Amino acid sequence: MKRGLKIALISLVSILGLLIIVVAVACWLVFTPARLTKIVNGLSDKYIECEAHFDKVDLTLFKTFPCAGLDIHNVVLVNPVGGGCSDTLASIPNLTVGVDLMAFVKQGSVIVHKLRIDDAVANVYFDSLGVSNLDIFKTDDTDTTASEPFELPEIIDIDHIAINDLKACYIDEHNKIEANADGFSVKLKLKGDAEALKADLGLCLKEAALKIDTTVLLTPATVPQGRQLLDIELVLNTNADLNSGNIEKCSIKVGGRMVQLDLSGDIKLPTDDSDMQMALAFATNNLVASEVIALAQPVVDILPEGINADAKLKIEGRVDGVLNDSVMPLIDALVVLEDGQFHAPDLLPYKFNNINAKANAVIDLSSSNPKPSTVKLTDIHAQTGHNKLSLSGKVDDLLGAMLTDLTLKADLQLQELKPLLPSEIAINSKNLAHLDLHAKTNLRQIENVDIANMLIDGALRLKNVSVQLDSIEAETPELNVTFNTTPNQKGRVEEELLTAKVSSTGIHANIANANMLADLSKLKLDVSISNILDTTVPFAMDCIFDIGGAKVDMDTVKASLASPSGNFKMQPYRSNPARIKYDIDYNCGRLEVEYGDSLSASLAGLSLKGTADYDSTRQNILKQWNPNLDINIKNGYLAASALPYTLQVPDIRFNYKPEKCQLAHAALVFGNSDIFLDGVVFGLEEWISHEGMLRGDLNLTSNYTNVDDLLDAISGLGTDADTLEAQRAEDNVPAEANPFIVPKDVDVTLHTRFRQASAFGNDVSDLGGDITVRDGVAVLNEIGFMCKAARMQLTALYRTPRVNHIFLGLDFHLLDIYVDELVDMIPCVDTLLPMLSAFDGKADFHLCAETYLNAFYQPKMSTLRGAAAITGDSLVVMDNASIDNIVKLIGAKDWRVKDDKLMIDSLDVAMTVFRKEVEVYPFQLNMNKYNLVVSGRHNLDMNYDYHLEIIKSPLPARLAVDVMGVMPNLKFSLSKLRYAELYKPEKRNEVQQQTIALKNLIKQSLEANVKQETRTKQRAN
Amino acid sequence: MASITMTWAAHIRISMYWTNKTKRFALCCLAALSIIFASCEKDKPKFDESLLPGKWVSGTEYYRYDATGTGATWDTSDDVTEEEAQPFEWTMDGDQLTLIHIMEMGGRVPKVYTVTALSNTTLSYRDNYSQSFTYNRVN
Repeated sequence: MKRGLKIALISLVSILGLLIIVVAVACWLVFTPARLTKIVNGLSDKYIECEAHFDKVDLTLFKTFPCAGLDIHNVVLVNPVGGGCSDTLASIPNLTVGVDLMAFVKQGSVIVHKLRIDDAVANVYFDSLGVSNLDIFKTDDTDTTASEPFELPEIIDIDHIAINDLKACYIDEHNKIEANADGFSVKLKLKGDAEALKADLGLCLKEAALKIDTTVLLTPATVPQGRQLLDIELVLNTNADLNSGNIEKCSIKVGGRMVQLDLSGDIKLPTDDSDMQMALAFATNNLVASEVIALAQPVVDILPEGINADAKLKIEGRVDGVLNDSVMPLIDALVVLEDGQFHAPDLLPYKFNNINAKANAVIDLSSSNPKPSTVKLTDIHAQTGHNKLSLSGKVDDLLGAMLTDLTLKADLQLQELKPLLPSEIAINSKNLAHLDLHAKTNLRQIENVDIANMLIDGALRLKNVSVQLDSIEAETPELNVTFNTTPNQKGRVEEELLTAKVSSTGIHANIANANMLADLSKLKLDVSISNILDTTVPFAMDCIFDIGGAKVDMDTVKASLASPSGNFKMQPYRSNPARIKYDIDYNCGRLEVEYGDSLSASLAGLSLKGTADYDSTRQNILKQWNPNLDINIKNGYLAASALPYTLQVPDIRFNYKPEKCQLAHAALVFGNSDIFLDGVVFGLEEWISHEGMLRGDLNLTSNYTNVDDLLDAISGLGTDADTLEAQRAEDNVPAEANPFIVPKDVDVTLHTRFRQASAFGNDVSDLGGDITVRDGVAVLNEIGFMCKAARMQLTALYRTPRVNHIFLGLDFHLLDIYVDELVDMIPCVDTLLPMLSAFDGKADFHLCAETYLNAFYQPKMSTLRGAAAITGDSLVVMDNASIDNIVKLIGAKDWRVKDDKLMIDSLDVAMTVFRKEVEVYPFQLNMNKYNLVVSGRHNLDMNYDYHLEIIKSPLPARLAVDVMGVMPNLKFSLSKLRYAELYKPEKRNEVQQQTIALKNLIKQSLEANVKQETRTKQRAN
Repeated sequence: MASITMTWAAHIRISMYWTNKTKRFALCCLAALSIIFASCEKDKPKFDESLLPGKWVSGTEYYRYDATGTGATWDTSDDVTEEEAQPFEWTMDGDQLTLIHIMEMGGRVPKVYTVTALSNTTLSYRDNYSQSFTYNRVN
């Protein structure tokens, strides 16, 4: 059996071998190359218009087994058209085609299973009119039968289609495209039936060049030498209609593996009834950004000029959805960036390196999907110099509003911020600054730099920082700032941009050119500012401050301030930004100021609360600020070398409004003086701008006041210093003369009450009355007071029209005064009425006088006017040699009793002063048994011309004596009687009547000014 | 007779009166003499008052008499100008010129002078203490 089988098999194989040999021989004999070549050339002549040449056509069985094949050598198509690269359209050294022999034998069909083209060269050309050298096939214009639509065969089985090392040139002058390809290879396997196809495509292009118009998009140097320009592997399953399929594998490599893109998934091409749909996954290899950028550079500028960037980049994700003119599929991509670098010197003066980032982007442009596209920045880190930055967050609605929510954290070396700062600012710090910034914004706000509507908050922490600006240097051991924008909120100011809180353990500043040192301790600020980025919005701010203390040391000025705190707000008016409303609420503790050795001042406390309405168009500073302030000063001290005393301010409380200053209470202590003031002052604004007078109505009380000090303090108030100096120069006033100048443009009434006062060396008590200062005139209006000797009433007028021309007027009444006190108090009275000091007892004294004074307070004698009256009862004549001599001379030898005291019943003197002349009108002295009349005149140089006359005496004779000469060398001589009838009204002559009338005129004019209150008090005492 | 009285007054410096009967007699004699003297008294000289208004100067001392009975005085040696002058009121009765200087504070200072000359150019007067003053008209 085995032998039989063996013999059978050997026989069968032998028969088959024989059969094959017979067929091969038959084919060799029938399909000879010459015969096949002739057939092919004949067919080409029938169908191809251009010159075609087929060098040799061989029948092959082995190359295309199991198909029968034709091996065609040296196929050349020549079709010269215009300016192509060559007249040769195609040159194919080897072309092998494999066909199904059985189908050809049985059905006469030519079914190609294999096609191979090796080392072909192609030149395709289109001229500017669109005429191509590809138009090589003949057309039959007589054949009017419609062509049948293409239908796939029932079974597709292309085992191998390969084009190897094709070299092609493509020139399209119509579209201005030039392209060259070298090493182009394609391998394609295609299997399927009427319903489905599976394609396995391999495409490789070693190098190529592409130029569109004048733009060179691709050159052989685009990829490094030795790398293939393009390598595509595609395994595709598609339906028979070729409009949908599954990409089993798609790997696209550019430049070797410079860029590799792997795709997989389903894709459906658009039809008349449906849009294109895809569900693809994609992933890149680890891209090197600089290589990708260089690769794409001819096509697109990924980075603008001036920006250098590099990184390792990997992108993977999926594309899912419909694609049409209005809808894009969803793209979900994860981008991982490593070891990146970025440098754009024109944008930022920093090189960023060590950039690592991971971002997930979901881009969904489906109109049916309301879910916006999103980018999540999981973690981005970068470093520049010693600065480290990290960014995280997300961007929603990426292709729309770009709703951004980002957080930036940075550790900054402040010195390295110098390139960002103006050159004159230098920042130094040993420590890193920590910045934590969070922002929520959108594309529109970013494009418009609309920071006001962004939600930004952050914190900045600084340690051991110093800042230098020109000659100003400031340093702080610690400074913390938190801030946030406040869009869509009703802020503390209109159009509020942000609020910030600043805290510091202390700030030390050194301003070198001002030789100034300043320290702030425990600083806390809460600041709100308006939108300073919008130039149409006027600047507004609200600041709540709380400072532990402040110190300033500048040259010889030293100042310290304890615990200033409060609130300051400025808000321009919307209708008129030039007007700004200020609100302030300020409190501080102890304030001390020293100015060398010449001035020191301190306050225990100061509070200030109120508003101001600033308008720069107004004229003077008060009108510009228009303040309404409540000010309270506690326990202030002012010591100045120019002041002989320390000015103390125990308490001042006042309210200032534009129309008036209401002084609630002011206590001042200077030297031994104390003053308490309250009342109202009007017109301060007009007074400062010299538009009106300063008006006031004040109550002034004092336990003790040194009037001299007070006058020195207010001398010249309101008078321009230059004006005073001009007056001094014009009047040749010596520098040592420093008279009190009554304030100008002032109309102030002081309702005074002094318990004790000293003025011009005199002590007075219970002084009260009105002092009016009105435009250079000071009036002491009916001041009533009591000294140790008498009730007094004084009305004085002091006017300073010029420095060297000072008017002084007095209306002075001393009631119930002891004569010796009168002489002691007013020494000039003894000059007016010689020997008045010889009298003892109480008298009433009235004086009205005026004179102009020079700058040394010396009377200008030509202007001296005066009238005085002295009346008294029961006066005692003291022992006085001169009086004794006079009386003895007129014969009243026994006028003085043994105890040397002599009573005068009454005294009634009236006198006038005119220039240097003192004229005493006749008056009686009733002494004991004698009645004397005295009259006369003397000059202030003590040159006397007096007349004494006894009109009643126990002696039989009446005597009169003239006293003439200069003190003490008086000459006494008996004189003619003049006044025997003077006190007998019915016997007076005309001269005597005139004398009495003038005397009465003088007395009445004097006594008319005595207040009833003064008279009453006098009687009561 | 008046000259005799004045001579008597000038040389007899002592006047003595006796009491009682002697006094009565003497008084009668004196009364008779007074009547005689009075009847023979020389009339007061009168000056044209209308010549007074105007500005008068003596050295640096100025007086300005206004026709309204007011006036002002100043002395330029004391650095006083006419605008700063001090006011007075004046009356003239015969040769008696009375100036009442008015102080701003309300007081009055009367001065009585006896005019001895008054013309368009010159004004002279003396006071009760025999001090004479002469002024020249300024305008």
